[in-house]
Amino acid sequence: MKTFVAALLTSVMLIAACTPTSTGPTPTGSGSAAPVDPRQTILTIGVSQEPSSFDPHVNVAAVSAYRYYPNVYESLIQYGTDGSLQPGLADSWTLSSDSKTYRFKLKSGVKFSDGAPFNAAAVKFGVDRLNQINKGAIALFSPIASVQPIDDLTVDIVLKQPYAPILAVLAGWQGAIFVSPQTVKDHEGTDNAQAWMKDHTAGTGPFMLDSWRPNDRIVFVRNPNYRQPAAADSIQRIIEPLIAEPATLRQQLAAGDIDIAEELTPSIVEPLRTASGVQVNVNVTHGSSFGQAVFFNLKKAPFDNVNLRRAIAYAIDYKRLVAVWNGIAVPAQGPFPETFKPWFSAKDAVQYQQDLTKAAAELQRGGLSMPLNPRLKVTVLWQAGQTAQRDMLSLIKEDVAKIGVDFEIVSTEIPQWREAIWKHTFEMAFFQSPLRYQDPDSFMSLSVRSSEYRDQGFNPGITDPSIDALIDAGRATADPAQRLTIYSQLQNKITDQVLFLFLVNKQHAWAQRTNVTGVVWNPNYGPHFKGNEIKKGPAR
Amino acid sequence: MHIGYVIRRLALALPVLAGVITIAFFATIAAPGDPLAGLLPENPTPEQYAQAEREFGLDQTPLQQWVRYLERTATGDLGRSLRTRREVVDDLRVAGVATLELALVAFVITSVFGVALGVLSAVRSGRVLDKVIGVISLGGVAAPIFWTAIIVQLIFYASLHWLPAGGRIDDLILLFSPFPTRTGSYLIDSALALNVQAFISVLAHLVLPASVLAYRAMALVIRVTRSAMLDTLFAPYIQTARAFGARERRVVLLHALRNALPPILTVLGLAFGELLTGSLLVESVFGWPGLGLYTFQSIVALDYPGIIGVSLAITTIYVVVNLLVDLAYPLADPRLRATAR
Repeated sequence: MKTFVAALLTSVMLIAACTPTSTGPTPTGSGSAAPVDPRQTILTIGVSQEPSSFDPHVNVAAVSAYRYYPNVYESLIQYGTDGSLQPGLADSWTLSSDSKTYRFKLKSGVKFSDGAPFNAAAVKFGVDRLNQINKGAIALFSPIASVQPIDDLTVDIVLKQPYAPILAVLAGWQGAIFVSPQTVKDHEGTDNAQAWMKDHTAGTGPFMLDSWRPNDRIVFVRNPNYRQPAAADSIQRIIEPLIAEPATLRQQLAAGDIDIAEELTPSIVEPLRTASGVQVNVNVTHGSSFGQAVFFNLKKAPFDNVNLRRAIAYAIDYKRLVAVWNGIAVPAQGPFPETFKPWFSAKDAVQYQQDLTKAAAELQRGGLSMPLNPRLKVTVLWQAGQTAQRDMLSLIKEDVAKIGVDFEIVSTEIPQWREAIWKHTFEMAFFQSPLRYQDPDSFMSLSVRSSEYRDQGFNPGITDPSIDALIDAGRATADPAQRLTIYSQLQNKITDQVLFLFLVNKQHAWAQRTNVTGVVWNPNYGPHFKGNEIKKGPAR
Repeated sequence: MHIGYVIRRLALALPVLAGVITIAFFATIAAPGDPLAGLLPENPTPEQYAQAEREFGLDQTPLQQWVRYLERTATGDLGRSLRTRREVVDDLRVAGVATLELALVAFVITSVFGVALGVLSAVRSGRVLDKVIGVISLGGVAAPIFWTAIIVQLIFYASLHWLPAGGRIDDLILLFSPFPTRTGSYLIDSALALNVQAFISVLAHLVLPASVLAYRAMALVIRVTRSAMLDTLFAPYIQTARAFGARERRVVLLHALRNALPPILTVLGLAFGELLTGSLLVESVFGWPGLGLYTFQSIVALDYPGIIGVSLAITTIYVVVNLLVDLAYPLADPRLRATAR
């Protein structure tokens, strides 16, 4: 009897020890392990915006979506911090000899949070549902002709024609489109489960949505079906309170009620640097995202005149603009930041420095006088909330006044700003390059290719067949050397003709409490808040 | 009090509501900007754009949209928000309850402190206490509410650590000792669940935003109460009461205050309206998920179902509050009982 009881006790203890504690934090701890303070298992990230939907086939806003990637939804491949492509949901991939078919070998044993298996059929389902719903980042996936499951864990992605940037698309946050077919089927309704997937998740990532109180907070919990069990002292919940007011965000971070905050506005960066227990990080992203630049309306007078555009580019004191950002921006030198290797080319991108003699020469070449007579009155739009844009414009206004250009600076909310761009009614407008995918084609296909000069397009009027030919060649060839030459030529054409006014490259400012470890800066995405890799020590 | 009077008043509100819908609708349509911008990527395909237009009925003419909106509103359907993609009715229910909770607590602070300080100020007219109260109420009218909010946050949260900076409840309490949602008001729900810990946490989260919100309205109540009291304190019937040997406390609170009540009730009614709608900045600083924040976000996004919905909700509240004030006059002043029919 004694041995039986002993055996029973031992087996119970063994089972207890082997069971992953994936259902939530245990305030008192289990077994002989030291009790874990529940506060140390909760990661609080202050956010200033919330998504309109958690459905990865619907959501379009980078700012709200990439933060949830890859905690909830994952992609087939992903970037390492060095920029190399690493396995994600796929272990390996090969390209066919005609450069049109990518074959992915999927990781085995991966499950969605509802318990359904992740397999080749689920990959096909993800791409197909994106196409059916026709919302979100559909344009990025348009080069895909079809997805063909070969066996349970092998899938072919077939392209309409060779398209080099596809791996960058698949590795970007917009490539995290794999949802459980089972959950979608269970909640299909009349809208392909869009209503359900808006505030529920069914991904393969380590976390899943627990609750969402609109305008208040979003709570994620551990995905019980995640492929690696969670340690008891690891992060069990991620809470994201919506904090619209930067001053409040700063106070809560300084007091330790918030562990992490990102997209810091320049005004709170400095006070946070001196707050105890807070570490402010300023990092650079690789791609063309976060570039602060200005659109000219190229199809209308006066900005159809290349000499006037060059004169403006020569009139600006770029170094002064950087000061507006409290140390979180560097001067821009073309469409790509210097860190976007190997694509950025200082040799090919024309570098503009303030030089009023050159500005005068350009005006003369364009048949204009210096200063302009009569003076030119221009309305410049900036994006409300981005107060640094307004501050930079106030400085530029002083600069361009010297060549006879008078700015009227106008604040616009997203609906007004987008309409002005989409309908080409603006004269000059500030924009921030969106985070799409880490390939030079991202910027070119969005804002430079002539097909995008259309209603609801993002091209300010560039319709140059020679530029189009280069963009198409850059997409079609997979040869790195050839692509490098192509994008160097494009950088040269764009900057030589001042098709955009590139001002500064904003860096990514974010802050964390010093007791939080394991947040990885990945220049391809931004700070990677992977809840399963983050640890939180006792409050300091 | 006649039920007929109440029904007449409520019926009169219907054209007001229809007018609000119409004005809000056409003002939004006339405003520059594309309301679909927030829902679509930077460069939506023509098919994507057309699909979004169809989904939200923006492919119809403004007149058709307006008629459809009126019809739907009559059935209690306020449409789907362009911004949150949720039913506006659901959005308003959540935000409305949060705002009502905040506004009611603020209203209690406003009326209790406002009237008390007003009475005190009148009784001590011209003396030091009156001057001090005068400065306090001047501050309430003069200081921007946004500034006051950040200052009290700095003092009571960042420096003293007495009160939380924002939100409605401590997250840990919600995670580890949750309570069922019955009304949506955390204060009421936690009380109904007899969850003392949660109730205290909710109350602690309410103190700063409610006080800041109440401060401005309170200033107005103090001033009106003071002047109304000064009018009545020197009235002959007060002298008479004193001559009869009534105690000063009885004279002030029963005779003088009772007679000064009608203007105070009016200003309290107005104050409640202001507490409901003036909460945008307070909600923004304290992260309170209420109507103020919702209104602001809807306007910025040109989310016309959201804008109209929130306008309707606020108008309805105003109408009801005004009605309640009207109904309260006869209680305060018996002479008005004959007219409120």
